[in-house]
Amino acid sequence: MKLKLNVWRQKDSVTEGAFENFNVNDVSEHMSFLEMLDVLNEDLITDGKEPVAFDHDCREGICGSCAMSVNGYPHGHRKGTTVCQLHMREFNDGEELWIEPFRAKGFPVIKDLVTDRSAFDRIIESGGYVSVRTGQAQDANSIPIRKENADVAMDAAACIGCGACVAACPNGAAMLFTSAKINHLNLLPQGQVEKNERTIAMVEQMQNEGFGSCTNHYECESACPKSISINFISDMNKAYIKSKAFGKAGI
Amino acid sequence: MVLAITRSVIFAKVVVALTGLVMVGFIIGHTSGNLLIFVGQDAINTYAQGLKDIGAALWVVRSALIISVVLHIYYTLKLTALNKAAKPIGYKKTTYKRSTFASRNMTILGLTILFFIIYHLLHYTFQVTHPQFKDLQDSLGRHDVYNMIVAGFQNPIICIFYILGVLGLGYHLRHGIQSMIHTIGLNSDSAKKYSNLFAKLITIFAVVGLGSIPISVLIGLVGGK
Repeated sequence: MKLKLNVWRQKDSVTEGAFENFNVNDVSEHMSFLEMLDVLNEDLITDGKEPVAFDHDCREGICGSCAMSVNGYPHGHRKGTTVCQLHMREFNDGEELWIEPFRAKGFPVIKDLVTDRSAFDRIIESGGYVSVRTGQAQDANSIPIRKENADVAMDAAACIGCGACVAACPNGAAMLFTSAKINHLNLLPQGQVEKNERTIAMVEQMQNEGFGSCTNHYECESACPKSISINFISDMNKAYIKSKAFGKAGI
Repeated sequence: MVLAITRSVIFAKVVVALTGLVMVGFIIGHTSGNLLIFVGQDAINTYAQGLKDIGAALWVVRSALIISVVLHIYYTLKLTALNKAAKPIGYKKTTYKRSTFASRNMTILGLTILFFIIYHLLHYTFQVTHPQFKDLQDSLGRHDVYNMIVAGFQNPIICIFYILGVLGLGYHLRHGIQSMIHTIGLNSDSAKKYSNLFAKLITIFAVVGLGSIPISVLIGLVGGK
């Protein structure tokens, strides 16, 4: 396959960026999107040019490192897929692609396609700890939990924190990410002790990081490589108001 | 840093949702009342007189409505500014999967409705634009709302403006009602199914109900000789 790429190039966080055009030939349809960029970078390095910087780590869709928008879609157009798992067979020979970093105020560009997503780390950090008994490991299944809660908590835990929700949201909101993390622990017995403090702290950290707010476009859910449900946002709203209004009373 | 609840985005969203609910209630009532024009002159004039006779209690409802409108606009403008600031740069190619025309234009649709409401109040409620409406009386000596509406919609430009206002309202309701239900935390599968149905039914009722009045007057179905 041959492709015409328009890749966002930006020297650093303060310099203004622009698109640079590349023609890549000999792209195999079995390559992942990142492998296609590797090929481009090898050519650039051979020619003595600066390679395109992009984040990547596990390349199997579970680490949440890779992050770029292809034709305006975070992680590309394919549903429930990270860009490292997106294969070139999803594209047509001769197609022109626009490759950009995730766009949001909360994710400033560091270089080319690499953005600073440490705001997510600070949201997680603000959630604090959960109280657990130390000592000997407990027997498995010794803490009773409703099957439904365990299932939904598992769905929330599937979030890999890649930031595609923020990148897809027309409001640059981080409510899908934050709500997945909040609900993951709020649904589990171990998360009950600090539930109110955690919900309040994480929501407010999200707001202080400069992310927007949800207006129910639902773009986040369709962009999420783990298909995290927007139901979590609704639950987070409820939990936040409840914690804020009645948290001190210990309800 | 712990925020006061009133400074939180979720609080703002919930206020927008709940004030929206108050206004949806008003729209249902207002549309139902206005549809009495199809029953006849006596029906709608009796209804209008009845509203006037409620007196002080009507002002309680009106105050709740005015407070809702003010809070709804205040918090949506605040959230819109926040959301715009959170997304300073868009993508070269703008692509959407799930968002709709209505969801992306809620603020501008809302402001369109606001301008429509201001004109609507000056037109029929306070009769500033058409002072002659004040003198209309029916045979029982009541204010003749029926003939006021008929006279008001003789002008096709005013009718078109009303129809556009109602269409704007329709888009705003279609996204707003569903959004409101989701925001306040009703998100079970059945709640989602019913909120979608609820949003569609109310939207159709309001758009068809309110839109049918200027059209009927214009084509002579109501008030025609």
